[in-house]
Amino acid sequence: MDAPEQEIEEDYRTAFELAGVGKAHVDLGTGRFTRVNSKCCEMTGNSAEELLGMTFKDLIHPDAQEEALKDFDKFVSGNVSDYSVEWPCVCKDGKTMWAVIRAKMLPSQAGQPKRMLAVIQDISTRKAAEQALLQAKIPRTDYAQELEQRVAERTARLEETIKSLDTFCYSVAHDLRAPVRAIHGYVSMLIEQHPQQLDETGKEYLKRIMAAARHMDDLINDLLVYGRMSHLDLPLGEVDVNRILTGILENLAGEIKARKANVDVKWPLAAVWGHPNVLEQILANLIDNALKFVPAGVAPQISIWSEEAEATVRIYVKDNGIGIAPGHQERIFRIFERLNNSKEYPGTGVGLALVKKGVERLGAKVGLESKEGAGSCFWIELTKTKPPATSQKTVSTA
Amino acid sequence: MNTIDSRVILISDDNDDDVVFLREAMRKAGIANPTYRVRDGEGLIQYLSGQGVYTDREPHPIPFLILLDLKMPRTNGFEAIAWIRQQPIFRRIIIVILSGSFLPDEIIQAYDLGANSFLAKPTQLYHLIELMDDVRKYWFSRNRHALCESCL
Repeated sequence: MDAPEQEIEEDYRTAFELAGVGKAHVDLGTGRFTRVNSKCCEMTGNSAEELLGMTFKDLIHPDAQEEALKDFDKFVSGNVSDYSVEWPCVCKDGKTMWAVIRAKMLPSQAGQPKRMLAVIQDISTRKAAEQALLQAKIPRTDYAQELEQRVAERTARLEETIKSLDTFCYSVAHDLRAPVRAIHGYVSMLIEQHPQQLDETGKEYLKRIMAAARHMDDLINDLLVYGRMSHLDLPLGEVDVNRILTGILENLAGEIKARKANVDVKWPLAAVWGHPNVLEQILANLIDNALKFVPAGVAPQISIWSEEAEATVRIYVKDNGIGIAPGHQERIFRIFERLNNSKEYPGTGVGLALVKKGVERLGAKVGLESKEGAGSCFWIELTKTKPPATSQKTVSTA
Repeated sequence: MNTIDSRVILISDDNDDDVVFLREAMRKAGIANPTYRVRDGEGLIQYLSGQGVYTDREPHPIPFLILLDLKMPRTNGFEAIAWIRQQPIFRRIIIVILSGSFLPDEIIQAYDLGANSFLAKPTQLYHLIELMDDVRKYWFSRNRHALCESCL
């Protein structure tokens, strides 16, 4: 060996020995260490002699050995030029050290087996930090997933409950009607078939029982309609308001005549986006109220018309009735809320609640202008065509 | 009508009170036809097939029209319609549902199974009389019925 070559070798040895990272030569055939520096010894806790008696595999944590050998084979067969891997290693004291290992083939020398130079760095601290971060993240992800699952479960249970409540309400209402029918039926038969056994007071009492039974039946009916309005699937579409209004006025013809009412409709009314049955319920209730809530002796004057805006239609129902004081205008839409005594203005207190529920289901609006003693003007506002997806969603989940 | 209408009406209803009102309303509406009553779907099927206490046809003739309640114990109205329509000789018996329960699905199901009409039980006797008057006019007078031999 001549001088410059010796110098290079000396430089290499120094660099190899003094490097702040672990350096090792590995025999590619056997996997044995053929040269290690002191940092290697320091990191693993093995002496140089011990390391030189080991293969690189002996240093890898048993759990990772299989994978590590695969990587090593790839490197040896030349499929991977830049070899940089992270493996858990086992130190002499049994502790695990995470190491990043970068390797390069060493130029082959005549008569020498193929070797690689491995640079080994202890990354245990970084790994520990990463692990801690992961540990912190896992429960958070788990928690989020668990939360989501719990929400889904509870929603499903809630839907189930609502469904069974609906069924329950319906069958309660239905079963309540049978005894109401019986009360009403027997009382009317008593009055009719046994009048001679009853004095006037007795007959009066029976009439009151009948009236109470009728009222109870109205209540049950309204609740059934309200319940159906709340939970039935309502496919929306374009609705011809004229046809609906004609039907309502036909149904109310007797009442209109009896009250000597004048109903003025500005035909034709604009078509709207909605559901025919719901719209019928809404309009029928508004018109019924307009007929009902007039001062004694006053003939109801009702005007019905529609006004079109760019995307919406307002349908107005205006009356000359007793009106509603501004302070009460919110209350009237609550179920069972009544502003007037039931003797003068009989009713169940469900009508306007039905209107409100119906309007909600259609994604529409309801409002009124009224002064006490000066009549009321109710309006509902609907879209002309299918509204954008967002408002559709509120409708279907309402 | 001079001759007595002998076409039989069979009431199928478990509620005794409702049957009292129904008979009263039929009487008031001028329905003088012979009327029989069973309490549930099982009784209805037994009656029609002449089983048990109904073996003798003379006091239990085949009905022209069945007034059928839907909510009955054991065999309900739907099951009864299904059974009736499966029997070739009973295919054309008029089935009029008279039910206190009338959900949209129930109405659809009743017609799909082969009911001819669906009426809601009114609360007021007065309305029941009107309803029975309509039944009399429509099913016993106006409607042209494909009579089966056993119903003549």
